[in-house]
Amino acid sequence: MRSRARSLFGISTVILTVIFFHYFGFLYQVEEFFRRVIGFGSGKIYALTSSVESAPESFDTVDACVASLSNCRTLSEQMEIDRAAFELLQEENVNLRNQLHFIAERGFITVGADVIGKNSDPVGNILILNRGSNDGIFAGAPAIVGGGLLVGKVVQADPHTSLLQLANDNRSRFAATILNRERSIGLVEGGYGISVEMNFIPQNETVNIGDQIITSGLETPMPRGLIIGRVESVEKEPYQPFQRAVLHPAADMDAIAQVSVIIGY
Amino acid sequence: MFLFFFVILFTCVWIGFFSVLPYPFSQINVAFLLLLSFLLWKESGIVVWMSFAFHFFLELFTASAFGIVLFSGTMTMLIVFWLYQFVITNRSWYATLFLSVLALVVYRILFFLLIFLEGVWSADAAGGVSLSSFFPFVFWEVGLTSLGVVAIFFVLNFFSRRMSTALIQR
Repeated sequence: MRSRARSLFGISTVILTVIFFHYFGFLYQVEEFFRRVIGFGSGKIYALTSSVESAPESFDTVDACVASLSNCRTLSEQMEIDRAAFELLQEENVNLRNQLHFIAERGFITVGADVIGKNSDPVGNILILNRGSNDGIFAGAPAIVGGGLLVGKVVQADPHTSLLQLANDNRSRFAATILNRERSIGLVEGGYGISVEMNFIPQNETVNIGDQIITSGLETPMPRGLIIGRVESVEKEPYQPFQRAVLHPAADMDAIAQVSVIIGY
Repeated sequence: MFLFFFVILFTCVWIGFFSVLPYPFSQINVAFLLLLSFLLWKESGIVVWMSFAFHFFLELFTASAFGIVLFSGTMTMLIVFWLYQFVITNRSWYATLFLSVLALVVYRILFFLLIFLEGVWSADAAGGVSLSSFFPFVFWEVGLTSLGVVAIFFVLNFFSRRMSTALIQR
């Protein structure tokens, strides 16, 4: 009994000492060393995993598979039509910009970072990046993929690595705007790594399925116009002051290998 | 020293491989899978210090307050080690399953308790986290990890007589 008490006391003391040393910065060098070693190792493994993984989609029945294929074809055709319209609009947009000098082209200052691992603890959906505060990354900086698709924001920036909280993390929150007629403003929140929702949308505003959602720019350092996703379903109860929309994120959160962290705009 | 490198290697494997597996396989708790298997194999108290190292390394890549993962992981392993020494001494698959489930449940109870306290202390959004939402994640974590430990038990039992169904010789 006495030896057990001694073990408990000894281990508790070591843990508390480590926590104390951490918060006072005495372990800084040791932690950085292990962050780099483990980051390097997990980065190699992650790269290998990403190159092998093909993210297959499974179907319960043949009919479901056929329906999905048919849906894909319809979407593909629609995308071709959209692309043609988009190119025309883009050309028109460039001409208008040049003629009227109405809006200066926005230039983001970004840092490219590789994903070297993931922490999928129940309370967080966090990606580990191989760039940190030494590269200019800071806590709160948004991260994008592709042509401005928001994936999340940095929650912790260490000198050589940083932790990126994905948009579907349950602690994730972004001020957002729906591109509907009223340009509704709300709060996009993650749902335990499996969903993204937009809350606090005024009840009297019209939200349609398929409406695009972008960052509103009402919070710093988040620029306006980063694409978050599209409305997948709307939950509207007459007795509630606000309505809620479930989103389909624009970026595939499960297949991110590189991101661009916006450190200035 | 070998065990230290072993812990570093499996931390890399967990972060770089297991965490990116599709749900629910991403919920497998590699630390407890390995630590419990090591405990069954070696029956040594060093498993508590391995747990300390494992959870210290994980803590470096966690966004929650420093100490939560470290404290809950190490203390759980200490409790599990005592239980294995004095209570669940039977070397059978069901005792292994019970030990594994108990370990993960204790770990998550300590973890969520500290997360709750963190939310109260720092007035962070985490305080508003709904525990019921985590049940599916914890369920899969407990289920898959425990099945993994039992599977490793059978493998070890197949290849070695050390794991034969008998009381621990002390």
